[in-house]
Amino acid sequence: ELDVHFESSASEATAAAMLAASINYPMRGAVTWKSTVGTNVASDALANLASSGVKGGALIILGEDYGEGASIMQERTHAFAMKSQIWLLDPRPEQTCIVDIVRQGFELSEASNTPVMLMMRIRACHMHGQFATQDNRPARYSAADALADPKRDLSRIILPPATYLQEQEKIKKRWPAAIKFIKENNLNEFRTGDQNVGIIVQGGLFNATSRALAVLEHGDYFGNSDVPIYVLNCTYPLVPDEFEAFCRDKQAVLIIEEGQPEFIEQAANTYLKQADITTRVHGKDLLPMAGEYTAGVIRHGIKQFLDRYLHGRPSDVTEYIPLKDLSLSNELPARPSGLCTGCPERPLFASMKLIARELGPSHVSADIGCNSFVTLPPFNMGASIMGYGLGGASSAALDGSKNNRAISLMGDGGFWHNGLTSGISNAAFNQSDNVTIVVDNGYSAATGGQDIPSSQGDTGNRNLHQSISKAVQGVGINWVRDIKSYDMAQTMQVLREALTTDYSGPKVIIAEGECQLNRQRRIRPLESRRKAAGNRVVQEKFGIDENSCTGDHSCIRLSGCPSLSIKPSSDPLRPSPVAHVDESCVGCGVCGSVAHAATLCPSFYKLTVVHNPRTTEKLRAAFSQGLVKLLLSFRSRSKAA
Amino acid sequence: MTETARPITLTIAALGGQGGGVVQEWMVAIARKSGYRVQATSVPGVAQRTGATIYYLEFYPADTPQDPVMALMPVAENCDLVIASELVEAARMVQRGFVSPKLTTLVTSSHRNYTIDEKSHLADGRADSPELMELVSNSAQKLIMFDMEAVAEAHNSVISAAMLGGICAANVLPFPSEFYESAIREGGRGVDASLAAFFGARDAVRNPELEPEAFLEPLHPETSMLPDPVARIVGEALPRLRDYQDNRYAQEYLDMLQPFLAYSNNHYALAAEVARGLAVWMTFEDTIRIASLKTHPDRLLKLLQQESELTHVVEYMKPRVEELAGTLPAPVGRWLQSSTLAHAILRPLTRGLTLRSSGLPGYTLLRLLAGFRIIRRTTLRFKQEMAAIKNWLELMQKLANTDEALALEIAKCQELVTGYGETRERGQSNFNQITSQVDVLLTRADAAGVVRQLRAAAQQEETGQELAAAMSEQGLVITHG
Repeated sequence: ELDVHFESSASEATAAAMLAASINYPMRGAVTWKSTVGTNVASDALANLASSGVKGGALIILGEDYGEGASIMQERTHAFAMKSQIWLLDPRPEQTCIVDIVRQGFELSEASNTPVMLMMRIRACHMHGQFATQDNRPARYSAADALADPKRDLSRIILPPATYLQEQEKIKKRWPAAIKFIKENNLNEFRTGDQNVGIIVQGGLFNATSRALAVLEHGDYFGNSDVPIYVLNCTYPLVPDEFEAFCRDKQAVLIIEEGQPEFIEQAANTYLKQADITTRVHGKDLLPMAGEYTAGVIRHGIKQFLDRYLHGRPSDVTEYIPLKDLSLSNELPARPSGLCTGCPERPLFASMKLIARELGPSHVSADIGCNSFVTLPPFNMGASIMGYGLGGASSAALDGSKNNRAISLMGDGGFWHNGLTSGISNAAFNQSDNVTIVVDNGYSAATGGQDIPSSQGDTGNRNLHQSISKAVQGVGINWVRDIKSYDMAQTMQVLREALTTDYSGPKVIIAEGECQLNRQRRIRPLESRRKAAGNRVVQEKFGIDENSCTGDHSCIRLSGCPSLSIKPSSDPLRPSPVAHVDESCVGCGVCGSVAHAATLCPSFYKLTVVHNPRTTEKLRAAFSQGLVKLLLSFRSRSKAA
Repeated sequence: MTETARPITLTIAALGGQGGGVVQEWMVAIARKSGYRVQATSVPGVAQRTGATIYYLEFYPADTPQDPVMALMPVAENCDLVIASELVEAARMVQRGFVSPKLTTLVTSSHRNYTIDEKSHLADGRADSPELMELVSNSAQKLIMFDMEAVAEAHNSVISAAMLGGICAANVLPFPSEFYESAIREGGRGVDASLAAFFGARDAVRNPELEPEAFLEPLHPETSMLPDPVARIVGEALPRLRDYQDNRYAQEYLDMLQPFLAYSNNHYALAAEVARGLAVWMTFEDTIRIASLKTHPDRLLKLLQQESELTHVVEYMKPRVEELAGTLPAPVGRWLQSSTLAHAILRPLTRGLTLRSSGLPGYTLLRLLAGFRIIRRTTLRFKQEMAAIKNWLELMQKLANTDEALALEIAKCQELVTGYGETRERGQSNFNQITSQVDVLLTRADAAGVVRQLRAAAQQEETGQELAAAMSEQGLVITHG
C-alpha cells in the first residue's frame, strides 16, 4: 500500500547494487546486513555507489558484529566508511534516537549526495524498548515513476574521466555539504557538566558510558553527569569546529572509541593541534586498543581518567581484568556452540570422522554457517573458514595429491550465495581433483531458517525447489552424488569412493537432510493433529542401557548431540558417569547409526511408539509381545523365589 | 543519589535452546502490565546454539520525570537479581562479577548440563558440583537453589517456565504474582504445562525438600569376614558374578582377591580397588552378557510399561568377527578369526543388526545367545580375558610388597580397559603401554605419581596422543605391539 519494494537478496552485493536506483532517481533505498562480513561482500558495489553519488537517500543499515556474541572476525566498519567516503552514523542505543537518526540519515544522504551507513551494535539490534511513532507516508517518487521516465547521466558512470571528477566532487562538494548538515541539524549532542574535563564518545557507547559514570558517582541513571559529554551520533565525517568548541578551555578529554585503529583519536589530535588548543587528549592510553568496550571496560578507563584530573590521585594504569579468579580446583568448563539436537550435519561429520580413522586424515576446508561447527568438539575437523560459500575455493591451492584429496565443505546457503561460482564452477573450470560436500539442509539455517532457492517449503511468493544437483551438473561437474546424510552407511561409502576413486576431476557430494529445528517446527503440530484425529502415528526415541554402558563415552565423541549426555552412574563398581539420552531426543536415529557405523557399543536401543495402531498390527503385537511378556514375568518370578 | 533513582536489574543466564528468550518476553509483558518501563537486550546468534548466553533487563517505574538511560549489558556489582538455568552458568555469572555479595539475589538451578568436554572425557571429566555450589552460595547476598530441570520434567514442561517460577518466588522484583501467571496464559503455547512448572518451581523455592540421607546397604553375611571398605564392594560384586556366570565363578573371584587382603594401608585401599576392578573385568561384556542384559525381565518389562501405546523395543548391535569368534570355543574361534571363508560367511552378521527384543523372534534369538553361558569358560574371549587378568594380578602382587602405592595405581588402570570393539582395544593397548613401563618406573622415586599422570593422559582423549606426549615428557619409550 506504501509501494515499498522489498527483497531478500541473494547476497549483500545484490542488495548494495540495488541502491543504484538512487543514483539517477530521487528514490530512497535502505539495505541491511551484518558488518564487516556483509560489507566485504558488498564493497564493490558500495565503492562504485559512493563514487557515483546519489540523488535519493541511500541508507546502509549495519549490524556491527563486534564483541561478545560476535560470530565473525573482529574489524571496524569505520575503515570502510573512510575509504569510500560513505558517512557513518552510530546513534545512541535508545529507540527514539535511533528512529530520529534513520530519518536524518536519509536527509543527510540527500543533502550531501552520498550514501550513509548506520551502524548498530549487537545488543542494540536485539533491544526491547519504546518510542513515539509517526504516521507512515508513501514515497514521493516510486519505481513506477522512474521506469516511466528513464534517465542516465554519463557523469555518474564509473568510467574515466568521470571517476576523477567524482573524487574531486566528494571532497569539494559532498563533504562540506555533509558537515553543514550535521552541524545545522545537531546530529551530535553536547551534554553539559561543571567539570573542566570532558568525554567524547561514539553514540553507540553512550549508554554504557553513562552507566559507568553513574556507578562511579559522577552521574545519574538519566544520562546526566557533572562531566561534559560530546556524543558522536555521526562518527564520520567528524566536525572539526565541534571538537574545537568542546575541547577548548578543558584540561583534558577522554575519547571512548571502540575497536582499532583509533581513527577518531588521531583526527581529534590533528584538529586540536591545527587550532593550537593544548587540551590533553586521552583514549587508547587509558582504554584497551582492541576488544569490546563493555560497561566494565569503560568504567575502568573513566575511573583512571577522573582519578588523574579530578581526584588528584596517581593514576593506576592497570589492565582491566574482566573475569574474577574463582579459585576452583579446575577451570570453569567452557561451553562452545554446537549442532542442535538431531541435526542432519551430525551424521555427516561423524561419517567424515570415521572415514578419517579408516583412510587417514584429510585436509578439510570449512565454511560459514552451521557447518562451521565441524571445527569444534567433538568433530575437530576443518582447517580454515574463508567466507560464506568460499569453502570450495579455499581448498583450490591444495590440489594434486591423488592419495590425500582435500575435502571442502559448503552449506546450501553458501552454495547459492557464491559457492556455485567461486567453488564449484571454479573447480570444474580448473579440473580440480578435490572433493566438495554441499550440506543441503533446506534453509539458511544458521540465521534462523530463511528460505533459499533449494528450499522445499511452500511459501507462496518465492521461486523455490531449485535443484543443487542440476546446478552443479550445469556448470560442468560430472562426478555428482546425492546422499541422505542420516544414512551413515551410504554417506561413508560415498565419501570413501570420492577419496579413493581413480576419477581425477572435481567430485561433488550433496548431503541432504532437513534442518531438524525447522523440521520439528513443521511436523510437531502436524503429528499432534494426526494423533488427535485417530491416524496411525509412529514416534521414535532412543535410550541407553545403563548396565551395559561402560562409561567410556566414545558415542559422545562421535556425535556430540545435546540430547546425548552423561549422568552419574548408579553402579558402585563403575564410578564413571554413564551416557544417557535425555527428554529432548527427537529420534533422528543418529545414535544408533553411529553405534553401527563405528562398531561402538550395543547399549543403544530404540523405542518405537505406535499411536492408533492398525488392528492387524495390534493383534500381531498382542501375540508376539504377549508371549515375551509372559516369559519375562515367569523368569522374574522364578528369580525372586 | 536516592535509591529509587536506580533501575531494578535482572540478568538471565541460560543455554541456547532453553528458552531464555521466552523468559525475557514474559518479563517484558509482566513489567509493562505492572506499570514499569522496561528495556531488554540479549546476545543472540551463533552463541545460542547450545552455547552459554545472557539476557539483560532493566525496569523503571513508568512515571519517572525523565527518560532513563538504560545500560545494554549488566554491570559488575550492579545486578539485583541474577537467574541461571544451570549450575556452571551460575558460576560463570560469579566469574563475570555480576553476582555481588552486597546486592544480588542469585536464583540458580542445582542441576548440571554437561559441556562437550566434560561429556567427551574417557572416564569422568565432570566439574566438581559441590565445589560450584559452595562458590555460588558464598558469592550472593541471597541464594535460592533448586533443580529447575527436575521441576520442568515433573510437569512435562520446559525449563523456562521453572525459571519464571524462580524469578517470581525470589521476591526481588516489584511485580504481582498474578501478572506472571497471566503472562504465561497470554503467551498461548503449552499454557497448562508451563503454569504447572511455574507453580512447581515456586513451591520448590518456598518449601525446599531436604536432601535424602545416603542409605547404607546392610552388609551381606558372606562378606562380614572382610574389612569394611572391601566388604561393601564385594557385597556388590558377588551377585553380579553369579548373575554373569555361576557360584563357582564368584568363589574364584574371592580366591583371586584373597592375597590383597594382606595390605591394610590406607583403609585397605589396594584390596578395595582390586575388588572393584576385578569384579568389573571378570564381568567383561561379551555377546553372551549383552544378550543376557538386553533380555533381563526388569529391563524389558520396564521399557514396555513406559508408554501406554503400542511399543516396540529395537536393539542396535554390530558384532565384529572378533566378537563372534570370541563367543565360540577357543579352537573354533581361532580358526574363525584366521579363515577368510568364515569371514565371508559371517559378513552379513557384522553389517549391523537391529533386533526387536520385544517380539518373539528377536527375544528368542537373544535368549539362545544368552544360553551360551554354559560354554563361556571354553570360549576364546574368556580365555583371553582371564590371561590378561592373571597378568594384571601378578603384576600387582609383585609390586605390593615393595611399593603399595604403585600397585594401587596399577589397580586403577583397569578403568582404561573399557568399552566395546575398537574402543576397548585402544583402552587395552593404553593399559599395556602403561603397565609395560613398570620395570623402568621402579627405579624412580615417584613411580605411583607417574602412573597416575599417564592414566589421566590416556583418559583425556582417545587417539593416544596425550598419552604419548605424557610418556615422552617422562622420558619413557613407547613400546609397539
